[in-house]
Amino acid sequence: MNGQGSGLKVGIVLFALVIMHFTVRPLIGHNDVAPDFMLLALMFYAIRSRPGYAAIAGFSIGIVADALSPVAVGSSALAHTVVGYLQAWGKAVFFPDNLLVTTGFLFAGVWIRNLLVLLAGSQLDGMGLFWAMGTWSVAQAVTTTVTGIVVVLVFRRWFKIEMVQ
Amino acid sequence: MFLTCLSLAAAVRLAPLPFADALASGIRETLLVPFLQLQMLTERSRVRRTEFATIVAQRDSAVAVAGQVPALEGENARLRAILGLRTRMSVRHVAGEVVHQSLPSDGTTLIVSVGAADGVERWAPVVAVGGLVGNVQTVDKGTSVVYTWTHPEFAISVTALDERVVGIASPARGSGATMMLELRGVPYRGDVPVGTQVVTAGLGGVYPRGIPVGYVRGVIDEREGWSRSFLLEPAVHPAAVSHVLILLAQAGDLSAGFERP
Repeated sequence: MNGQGSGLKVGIVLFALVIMHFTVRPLIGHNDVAPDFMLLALMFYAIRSRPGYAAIAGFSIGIVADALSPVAVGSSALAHTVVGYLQAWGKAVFFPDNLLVTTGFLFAGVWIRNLLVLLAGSQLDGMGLFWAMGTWSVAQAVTTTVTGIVVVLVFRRWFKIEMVQ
Repeated sequence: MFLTCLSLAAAVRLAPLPFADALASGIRETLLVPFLQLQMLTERSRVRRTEFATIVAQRDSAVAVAGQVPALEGENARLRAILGLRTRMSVRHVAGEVVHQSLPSDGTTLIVSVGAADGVERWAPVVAVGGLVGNVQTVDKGTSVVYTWTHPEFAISVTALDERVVGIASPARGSGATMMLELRGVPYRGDVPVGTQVVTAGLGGVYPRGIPVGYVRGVIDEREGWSRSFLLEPAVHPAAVSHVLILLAQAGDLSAGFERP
């Protein structure tokens, strides 16, 4: 498979994730816990691209998320930019084509995104922040990670992620 | 590129509110239109599936209990309660579906599937079956952004016990991450028993009178000889709301529109 064909296939999966964010997600249980497909798409893109491009993708998705939940416009753009950049940068430090490492990346990405959104938006502090990050954010990180792993397992040949170690 | 994006995001975050709102509104009304339409279609199909299941269940129930008048009366009462809020509303209103989002800030603002084309205007009060949800802050053509009572800047004039108690309610943190309301500025002599329903006072010209805001759960602060603050259990938890009514008139008394649980 050449690089362009592989990129196109991954692009199709990412676009499908974005569509699922608006069609499948509303049908899945509690809103605070349901997986964030759009963030998942960003993270899959980020671990396969350069940090700069990942930051741009993060900013773009973040500003869209800000428009959808305009409590503190800019906080989500900031959070997604950082998460996109860190995911891409992490690729250089860790070995990304591995299921366990990918699992850790996805979980950390969701949790850090939620923390940054709440901090940058000055929405919670003290015990409220502690509870939000210790309960709902962990739950959302788990569901998003599980969804991400399912996507990786189904499309592992397209994503070129190894199944062992 | 990272620093540029970070600076841009910080600039948007620190930008004046009208600019930030205009930017968010612009994105919603252009790039996000097809995606929001998709999400609204999904929400509607979910509701229709539920309604269909309810109708099938009702049909099966009707067959099973045909002839048993008391059971049918009970079913009738239940259905009337479900539909009741809309029929009891004495002011003009439009019904909308809430399009929930994935960020942890969802619930502080809500996107609702009705907008300027449906007659919605800024500051319009938003209610759900239990009581007050918030008010409309931004109106796009087909959607609106609602600031709920959990928003840090929310404050509302409220009353209880047939206007013997008047105060200001604003969001407060309960135990853990639970959002509650705080009723401030109640004169020290004004005793408010636990369980008392607190409703909008109708002052200020934004909210009609009589919309349930919350229920007293206890005293949280006393300024000796001056005033007391009470913790209120909210009448509605915005994050759990799927449908709302946006009131198109801001005057009147809606006390009869809501039933006490």
